[in-house]
Amino acid sequence: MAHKLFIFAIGGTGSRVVKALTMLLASGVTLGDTSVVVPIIVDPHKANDDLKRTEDLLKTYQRIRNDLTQKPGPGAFFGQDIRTLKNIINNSDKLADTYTFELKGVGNETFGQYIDYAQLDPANKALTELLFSERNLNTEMNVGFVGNPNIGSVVLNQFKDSDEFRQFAANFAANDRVFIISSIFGGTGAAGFPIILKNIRGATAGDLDNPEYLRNARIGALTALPYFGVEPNTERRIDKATFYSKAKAALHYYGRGVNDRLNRLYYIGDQLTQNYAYDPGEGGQRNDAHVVELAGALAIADFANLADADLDTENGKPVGPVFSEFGIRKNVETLTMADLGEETRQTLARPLTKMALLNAYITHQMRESSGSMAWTKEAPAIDSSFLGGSFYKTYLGDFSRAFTVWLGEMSRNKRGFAPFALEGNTKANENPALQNVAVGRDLAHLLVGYAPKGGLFAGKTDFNALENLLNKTTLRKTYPTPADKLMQAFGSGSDAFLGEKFPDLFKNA
Amino acid sequence: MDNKHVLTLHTITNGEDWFSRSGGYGKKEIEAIEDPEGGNTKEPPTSIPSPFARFDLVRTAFARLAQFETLTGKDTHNDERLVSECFDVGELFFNFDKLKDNLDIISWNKTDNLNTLRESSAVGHQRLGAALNLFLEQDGGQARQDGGYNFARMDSLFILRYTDDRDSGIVGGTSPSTLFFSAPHSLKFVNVQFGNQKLFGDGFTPLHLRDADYQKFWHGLSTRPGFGDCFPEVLAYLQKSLNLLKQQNNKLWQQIGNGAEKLRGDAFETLFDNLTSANGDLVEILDYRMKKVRVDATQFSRSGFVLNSEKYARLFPDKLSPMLLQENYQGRLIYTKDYWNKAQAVPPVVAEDWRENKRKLPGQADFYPWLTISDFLDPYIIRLVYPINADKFYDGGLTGNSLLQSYLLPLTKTFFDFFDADDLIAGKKVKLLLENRAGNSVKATLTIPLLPGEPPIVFDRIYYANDISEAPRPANETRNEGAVTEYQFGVNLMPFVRFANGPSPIYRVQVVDQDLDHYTYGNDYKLQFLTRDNKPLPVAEPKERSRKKQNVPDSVTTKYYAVGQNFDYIAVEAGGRRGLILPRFDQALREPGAVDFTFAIDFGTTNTHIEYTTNADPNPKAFTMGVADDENMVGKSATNPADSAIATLHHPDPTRRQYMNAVKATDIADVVPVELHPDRIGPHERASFPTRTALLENTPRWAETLAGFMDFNPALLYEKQNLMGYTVETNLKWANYRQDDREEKRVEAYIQSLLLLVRNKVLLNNGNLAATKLVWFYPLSMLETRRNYFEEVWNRQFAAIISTKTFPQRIPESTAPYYWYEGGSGEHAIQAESYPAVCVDIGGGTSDVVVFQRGKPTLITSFRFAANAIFGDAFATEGAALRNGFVRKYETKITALLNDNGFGELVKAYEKIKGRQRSEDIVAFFFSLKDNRDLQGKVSIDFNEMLGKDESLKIVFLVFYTALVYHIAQMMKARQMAMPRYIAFSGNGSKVLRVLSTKPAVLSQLARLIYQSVYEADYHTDGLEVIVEQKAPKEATCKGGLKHSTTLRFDRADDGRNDELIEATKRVLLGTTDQRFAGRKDTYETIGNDPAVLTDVVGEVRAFLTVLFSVNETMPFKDKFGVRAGDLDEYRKILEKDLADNVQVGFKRKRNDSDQKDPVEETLFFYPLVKGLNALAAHAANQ
Repeated sequence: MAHKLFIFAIGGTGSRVVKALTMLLASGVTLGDTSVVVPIIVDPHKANDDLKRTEDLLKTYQRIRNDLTQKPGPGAFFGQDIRTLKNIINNSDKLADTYTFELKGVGNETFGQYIDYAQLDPANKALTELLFSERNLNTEMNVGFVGNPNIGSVVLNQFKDSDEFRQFAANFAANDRVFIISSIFGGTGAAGFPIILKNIRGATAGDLDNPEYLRNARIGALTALPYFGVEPNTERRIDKATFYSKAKAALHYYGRGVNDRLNRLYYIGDQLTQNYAYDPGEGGQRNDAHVVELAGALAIADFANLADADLDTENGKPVGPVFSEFGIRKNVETLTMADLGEETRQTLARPLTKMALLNAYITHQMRESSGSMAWTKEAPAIDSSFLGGSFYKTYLGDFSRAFTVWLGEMSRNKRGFAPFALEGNTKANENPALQNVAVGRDLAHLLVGYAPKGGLFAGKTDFNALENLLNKTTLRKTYPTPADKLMQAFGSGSDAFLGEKFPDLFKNA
Repeated sequence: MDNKHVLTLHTITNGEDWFSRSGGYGKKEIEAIEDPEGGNTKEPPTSIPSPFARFDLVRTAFARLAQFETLTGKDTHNDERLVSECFDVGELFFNFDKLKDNLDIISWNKTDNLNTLRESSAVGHQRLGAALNLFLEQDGGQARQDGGYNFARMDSLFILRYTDDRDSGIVGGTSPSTLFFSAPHSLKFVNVQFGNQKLFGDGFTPLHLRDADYQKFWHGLSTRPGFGDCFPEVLAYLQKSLNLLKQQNNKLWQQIGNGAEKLRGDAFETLFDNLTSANGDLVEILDYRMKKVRVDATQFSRSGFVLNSEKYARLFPDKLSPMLLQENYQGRLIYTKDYWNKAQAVPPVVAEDWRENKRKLPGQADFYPWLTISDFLDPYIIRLVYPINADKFYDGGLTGNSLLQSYLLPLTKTFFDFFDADDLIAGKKVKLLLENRAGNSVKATLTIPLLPGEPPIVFDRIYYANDISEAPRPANETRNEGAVTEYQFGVNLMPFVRFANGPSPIYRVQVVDQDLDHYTYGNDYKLQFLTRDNKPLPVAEPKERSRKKQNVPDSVTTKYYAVGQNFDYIAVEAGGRRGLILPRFDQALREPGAVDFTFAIDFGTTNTHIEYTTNADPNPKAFTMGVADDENMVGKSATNPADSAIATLHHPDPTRRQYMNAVKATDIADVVPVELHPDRIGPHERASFPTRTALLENTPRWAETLAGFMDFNPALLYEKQNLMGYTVETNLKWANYRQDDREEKRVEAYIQSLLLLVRNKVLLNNGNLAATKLVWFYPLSMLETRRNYFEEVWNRQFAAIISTKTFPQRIPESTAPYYWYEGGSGEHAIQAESYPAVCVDIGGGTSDVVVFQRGKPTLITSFRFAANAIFGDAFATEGAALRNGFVRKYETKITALLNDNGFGELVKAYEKIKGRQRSEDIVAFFFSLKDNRDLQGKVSIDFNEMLGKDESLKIVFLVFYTALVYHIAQMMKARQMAMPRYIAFSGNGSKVLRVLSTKPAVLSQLARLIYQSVYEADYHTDGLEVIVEQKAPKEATCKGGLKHSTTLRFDRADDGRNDELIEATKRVLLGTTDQRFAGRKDTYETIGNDPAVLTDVVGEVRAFLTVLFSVNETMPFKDKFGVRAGDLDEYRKILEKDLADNVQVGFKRKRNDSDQKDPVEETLFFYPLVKGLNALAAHAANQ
């Protein structure tokens, strides 16, 4: 039975996992019976670059999908409906059309001011002093909760009284699912996760609509253990040294106060890490994309694909919670498709490579081929006016660039994921085998670690070969718009191309 | 790197893709997470997304530590701290009663206080309330079953706030997960320590190393139902802790038992009381009641720092013996439960009262009495301006360079609750050391051993001297800086004798205050006398005698305390400073002696003498003090310190008074011999017996009860030195006490003083005070009422000062010399067998005549015709000395001699005596110069010799002598007695006979002629010998009295039999021509009303004069006595002038002093002669 999937993405890690998910969904990864994905990004770091990039990406995704006359279905590019909360409700005047939940009362204010500490009665003041350190009380909240989830647990609790949360509750149907993404070692994520979870499980009539549905909701969560560090920095409030002890302490707490409230919990982390420049949030946190986030996005897919029966909840308590970890086949510093587990590769390789191909084609071939190649010339023509239009130039272009950046970041990161030889994928390009290769254009060398099918009858693996297949796939087909044509044609054409050229990897489905 | 790998932080699982694992991350996985930083974060992790994160953090810490048998492991630093702090917080609750002053319990009620937040108008409060509520509800399940935090069972949290004078803050609270937890900030400000365990310090203390009771509390609580369900992590820890205890402290483990079995049920409940907060709330954790330790101060009684003083235990049997605590103590002694921490600070002064157990042990939460420097050492030390007399007063072990100054002991009275004076002197149980240091500072060190083999406790304090400005320097006890205060004063103790078991003491304590400085002038010295039991003696207010004057450099204030019980030390307080004086009673200790003393005291009109014998030596000796007996009579006496009665605080050696001299404070020493008595009294000393009868006084408060050596003292230095500023009263014996009770008080004080001297003599010389006997003398001429008064005074004072076992006996002073001469004890042997022997005792005022026949007095008479009749002023009272012949004639000469020889001071002393215009006093001064020690070897002034050469005054002595003999002869004749074989003269007044002639034969011849004239018969062939005691005429009375005393009974009061005997022989020849003895009807009244009697006396005097001048014919006055013969007619005229008037005046004067109904008690014969002698002398002086 179709259901909505509400994703609460908390903090920087939440944003980046949603970004990865968006990439996957754009590429064609499917989410089972999910009718619509509703991401809600919860992050007090307004200036956070990761948040902005993700939200921009989601908007681009939505625009692309909006511009398509025939909404793509599962498996197709942009095949999954993603909407803002405002989008899915009728009477939504109060809500902003945004994926981001905006915290209130956190601007230029310390935590102490936030709870009006100075005016507390003696007993509550004493309790507050006992529970929160002076440093806690003096923490400026516009720079986030900088590693103090105990503050976050108070501040983020305002979420439950927000219009967003009420609307979420009001629109929550019996079979709808919730997925919560957070990191366990930071501030915001670690705090927000239990808050959202507890508020859903603890929903009471009078406060919220559909309390019964909420209490018994199918809830999955990804909790990210440390997978990156920060550069050493004096005056730092985020301390890599504390990431592990924090994570461990929080895991203990989860073991008692969180785990058994979840239907599924996905753990992920990595010991192989790279330090990022120290930035507690106010300077616009912008971390490179990471394969762990990609795996996290896959967890959402995994969760979404589960059968309802696997996620039963009775009286607010999940029946048989399941806990998952993510494994790879080869423990190497930079992963390629070959180093992933089989199932992961099955889920990931074809959509991502197709999107990579689209990217390469848009980047290197489209302008040359438009108006000349058969598949572009037939109406609706993919001509220069289309290429100058907003769909292609702005939306798809933006997305393509974001995708390239995303892949590039992942390839450079540690641990890295560099499945493609593309511009900017430095790690991949260091391969001596690519020394004389026109990276990005040379489709034969696109998939790192995989050579095209050889043999007497095998032709070249290049844009020509691809275009031949595009011509073939558009033959006798009608499309409402050039955009629909481009997306649909390239979807089928690239599918065929990969099956033909890389049969080992893409056993034709 | 070619194997499957899971993207996580542990390596336990293996798999590919998203795969299911069995269960969520638990202990195993979390522990397996390898922390590349090793967990070494300073900050505890704060990543728990709950406002109650700290509950969880501590809970996790317990769980983690409980994995290790030793409760410690790799990377457990933070956990150990959290758990240790949890126990610290618990221990604060557990010891709340002790820490009440610094701790508050704030209760936070889940319902009420949450509602306060949620109903608050402040949005922030609502937010906080909502968040707290969310977690309280969501995480409220039972720990074991639900992994929750037991919030559902929790009503209240209790929060501790710590406050001291430096800081204040929340420390921790109760926790529904781990019972307690600490606040997240630094808790270094909490200044609480149990044993060596500083709470919230850098070190962590696991439970099994903590206080025994506290461990019992935890283990006992763990046996309560449901404990393990609520606190599974804590229980796991406790079980491991108990295992460790079993290995490391098996004794305590046995008390707790396996699985805390011995603390189950009531055993636990009876061990502890429930803790309630200040407002009476029971403190509960869930529904487990918080317990508190029973405050039992006795638990520290076995500390190595406890001062086990038998004295304290005896004085305060119900009190805890306090500890002595010293900063920087290096020894190894058990403090409360651990060894002393050498770094432990100990303040040098603590305001709280240790006796009330109001002191918290340093670094500890517990109250137990303890002492620090200021409890034993005063903030100020009083410096004396002289070296202390260390033979007689403990000097505090003073060492150092300049020893011309010394100090009072800067010890507190508290010190003597623990130690005796003897302990200080012995220096074993406690040792005091005063050290002079640079810059006039002094360091006091008190060393008190506690346990053998361990270093002693050392309390020391440096006392700093005034700065250059000389303004008084304040002490700063907090910094342990004492201050020196210099006072110019002395304290002197009389007598320096102590009996452990013996007569009750009679101490006189003299305070001499010469503080004339701006800062110290106002000092008012107050002395307290403290017993061995450290109790102040009830002592009457001191008597003040002298009074200093600010601008008079030599002036002093003196005060006298009378102390009637033994004491061990003296506390001196003046000008807000205090110090102690410790007499060396160990040196003064005497056993009641075996020597029986008998004293004879001759309280004479002019001179007073004391002689004594002992059962060991029956030879009478003159009273001495401080000089060696054996050299008593020849040459210069050696000092006999054992016989020295007065202990001065200043060193007796005058050569060690440089500093005292420098600050012009010498009167501190100089006033002692004046107001008490000289240290040495003896024949070759400035003061000796016989001594002038004189009482030193200084405007006493007559309304008060006055006492000897307090308000008065015998003026032993009268005539010896200038007694400026004092009044010396000389006319004590015959003063008219009826009209003025001052005289009575003087007499009593004088007698009291003499008896105190006697008493001290006995005590110092192994004497048996109870068996001491006393003979005193009275003149026969004394009226019975007056004699009775004296008797009462002697008896009363003797009983009070000497003994109630013996009774003083009195002897007529005139009879006594006979017993001395009889049998040849004196220079001459006389007897009264075939012929009578006559003893004439010539004193200053009276002459007593006793005729002995066959060894017994058969005729006694007495009259006021003695030395004063010659030298005095006749019947005049005021200003007569101006007319006195002796004074007028010799005053200039003698004062010139003194001045010329540098004895100006003595001239001043003379001027003072002269000021009272009593010629007899002036002449007595002239006489005293011969024996004045100060003049010896410098100038010889022998007044007797001067007079002996003075022809013009010779007639006075001739008339005196012949009148005396004439009257005795008339009386003997009237009694039909034979002419005497001997006439023995004694008494100080008998010295005048030597002026007349130094040859006894000449005096004998003259007497014989008188007798022959009176008897109108030739002298018997055995002849007459006149004996004049040459060397010590005054002493004959005392010596005779002592000789005679062997026949007296001292075991009972005088029953009057001797008086009866004497009365029977007592006769008064009226002095009329009919030679009639006075009868009972001859009262002053009847004779006064009968002018014929007085007229007839004139006749008798004329008859005497006829006899006198007829003697010249057979025994020329000029040849025999050097009387200028040509003046005889003139002399006779002078003597016959106004004869009748002079009889009247003399009689009336006597009558006024007497009872009208009494028979006349002396002859009227001498009245006109007294006046005549005075006129003769005046006449002679004009020549």
